[in-house]
Amino acid sequence: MITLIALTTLLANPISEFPERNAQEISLVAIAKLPNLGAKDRQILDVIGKAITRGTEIYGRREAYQITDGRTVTCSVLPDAVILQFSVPANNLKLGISLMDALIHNASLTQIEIDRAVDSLGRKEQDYWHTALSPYKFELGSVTREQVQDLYARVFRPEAVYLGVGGAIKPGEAEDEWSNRIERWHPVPLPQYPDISLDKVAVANSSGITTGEIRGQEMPNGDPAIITKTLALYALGSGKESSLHRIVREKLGLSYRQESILWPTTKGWLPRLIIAMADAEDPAASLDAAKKELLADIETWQEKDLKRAIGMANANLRLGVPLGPLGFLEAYPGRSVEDRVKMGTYWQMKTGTQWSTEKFLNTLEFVQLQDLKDAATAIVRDGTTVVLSGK
Amino acid sequence: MLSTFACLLALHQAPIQQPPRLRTILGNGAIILVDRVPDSPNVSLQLFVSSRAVPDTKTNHGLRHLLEHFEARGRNKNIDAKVETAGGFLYAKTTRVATQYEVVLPKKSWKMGVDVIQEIMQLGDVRSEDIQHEVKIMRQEGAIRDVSAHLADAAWSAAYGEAGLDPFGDLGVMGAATPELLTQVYKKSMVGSNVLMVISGDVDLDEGTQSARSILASLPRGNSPERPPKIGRGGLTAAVGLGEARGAIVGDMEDPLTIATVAAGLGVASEVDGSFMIYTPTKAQGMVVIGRVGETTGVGAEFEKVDPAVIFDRGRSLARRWVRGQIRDASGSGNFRGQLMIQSPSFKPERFLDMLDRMSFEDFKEGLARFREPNCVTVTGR
Repeated sequence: MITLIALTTLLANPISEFPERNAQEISLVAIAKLPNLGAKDRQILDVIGKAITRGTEIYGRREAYQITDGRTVTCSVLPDAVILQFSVPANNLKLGISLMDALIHNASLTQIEIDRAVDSLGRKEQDYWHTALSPYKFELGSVTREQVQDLYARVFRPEAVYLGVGGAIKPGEAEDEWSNRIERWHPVPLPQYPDISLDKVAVANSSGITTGEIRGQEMPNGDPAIITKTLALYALGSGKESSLHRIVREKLGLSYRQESILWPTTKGWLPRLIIAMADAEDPAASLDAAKKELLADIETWQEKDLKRAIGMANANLRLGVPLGPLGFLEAYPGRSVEDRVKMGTYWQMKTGTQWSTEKFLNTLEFVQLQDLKDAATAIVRDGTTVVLSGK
Repeated sequence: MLSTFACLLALHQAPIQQPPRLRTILGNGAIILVDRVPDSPNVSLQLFVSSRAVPDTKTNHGLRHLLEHFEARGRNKNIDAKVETAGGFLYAKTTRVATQYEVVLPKKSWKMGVDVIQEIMQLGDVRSEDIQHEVKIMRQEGAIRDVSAHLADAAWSAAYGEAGLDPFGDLGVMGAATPELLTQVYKKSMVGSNVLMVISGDVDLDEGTQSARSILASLPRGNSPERPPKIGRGGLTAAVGLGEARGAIVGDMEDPLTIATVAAGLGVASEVDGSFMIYTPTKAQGMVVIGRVGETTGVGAEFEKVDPAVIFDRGRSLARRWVRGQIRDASGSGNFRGQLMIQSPSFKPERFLDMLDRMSFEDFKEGLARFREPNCVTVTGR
């Protein structure tokens, strides 16, 4: 028993604290880093994502509301992580940590909630944008509580979970509270034969809206060129002076919404340019035309385009303008405590380093124009085109 | 020596405490609000052009929206390049209440925003082919409108008929617009009695007011009379896209029962996973919509069965948080205060908080009753 406690404490990741002066509330986030999952496990994880917020064995839904003072507990499932987040009033840190502990160790996940989640996921129509981002269909007819509990325990393992607490806290306060709980955490063994079933990728966008994509080459975590590539994505597809907006929307009139995204994967990142094309007659040809125009446009980039991309990154990360390659996280550090806690904890999980908006933006200033053009050209030129027909 | 002394004296003067905000009404009727948000890293400048001057009708449905697309480009069509390079962004949107332009900039560059708003106020050349190109893009915009917007539009339409037309507009009407017609709408709208400018951020009240005055004072007064509000009626309707919604018919935002309805709606929404609320405060006819996308059951049933005593405290707490959330930063504060002030120059978000403090259980129950059949509009989306 002593050995197990010591092992759990050793394996657990350090808590990230983000105290802020003048904050009115406390934001808590728990991020579980995902291993490679088979298609079936990934769908069971979607069920967990939907059912986990319905209550725990310790706190029912109403009690959870009392702890959060009516704030909602959210759970989002990304390709590389599951993120649980909520806020509590400034004096509720202890109960907030207790609720988070209950959510990741003692979620009720009853068969009724599981059935409800399966039913809802089976019927749910994703919107065009989410379908373009994750073109997979939920196909499980039923899921048992045992399947759910098994995956739940495997996902929320001590070494996989990253806890972040920020806002109205004193330094060290959350850490003390959390460390008492880690000791009671019992890791489960990993399966000998993990699920390796393959995703069935959709070829149509079931929303009825056609989407096109230029999908760049995956870059590994720790890629030294990530800063240049991220700035290239700002230049290509963030803001109304980006290449995508100027060409795809203003020049070709192909689309109202088009954005660049740095999509997370379990191995790293995937640069993606996504275009909604509601009434394109030949989307594949339109996408090819857009690709050619983009490559020609990159050739013409000047220092002013580099400066605009840096400016847009500042607007996105410092002011909280919700347009940027890291938008998949829906956390803009300039916007709120919740967003800063989410981004800080996610970055720790993803890269093993602390997030600093200032440092990130300062590093962008060192990117040279030619390097930016080369990175953008590589993303577009070497990217594959993907069309999900809405017809 | 004397000048050094004078300089030192000036440096040691205590800063003059300014009030949190200053409202000025110019001779031409234009309203300026400078809203101090101390320590805010950004400044938000927002121009509101009321829909009063050109109310939406079936024959002009969407012209305000089309005009917004052209004005947001600015006379010289280089606004976005300037603003984005400075680390800011320009937003534009058309609602039932107003057309709204927001420039958000880092504090050090906020005065650029005044120039940008001035440029937006001057409509550039518009050709027929530009209109056709823009309508092509707007067709795309219309196609990707989310289900929650369709549900809310259906509720408005069922309750108010032509007086509840959606702010997006009719693509046929927009496609048939001419440059002359668009110019007429522009000239009627861009008049002193129809506009409000808000500057929200860590700015000096007098400096902000002077800056706004410099671009608004030359507008003609114009004429934009209030229309009498239309009384809404409940019923059943359908919408495009899978989802469901309940629309509670409300009147003047200054009526305490309106915010009680918001509180009741939020209380019930907290019982339904994935639900949303859409409410833009209005002086005349209004609607609080609670719905859910991707599901067709749950919201309506919850409204019919919920015990108001269970959700009363939570509803009040959520409504307070909703109001405070609207004004928690410079951009939000400018947006929310502007929305209220363009309709009622003396109305402030803090009034909602006062009303919530005084809200009785009876008020709350009455608010909840507005979401129940047959008072409400029930929308089913398929």
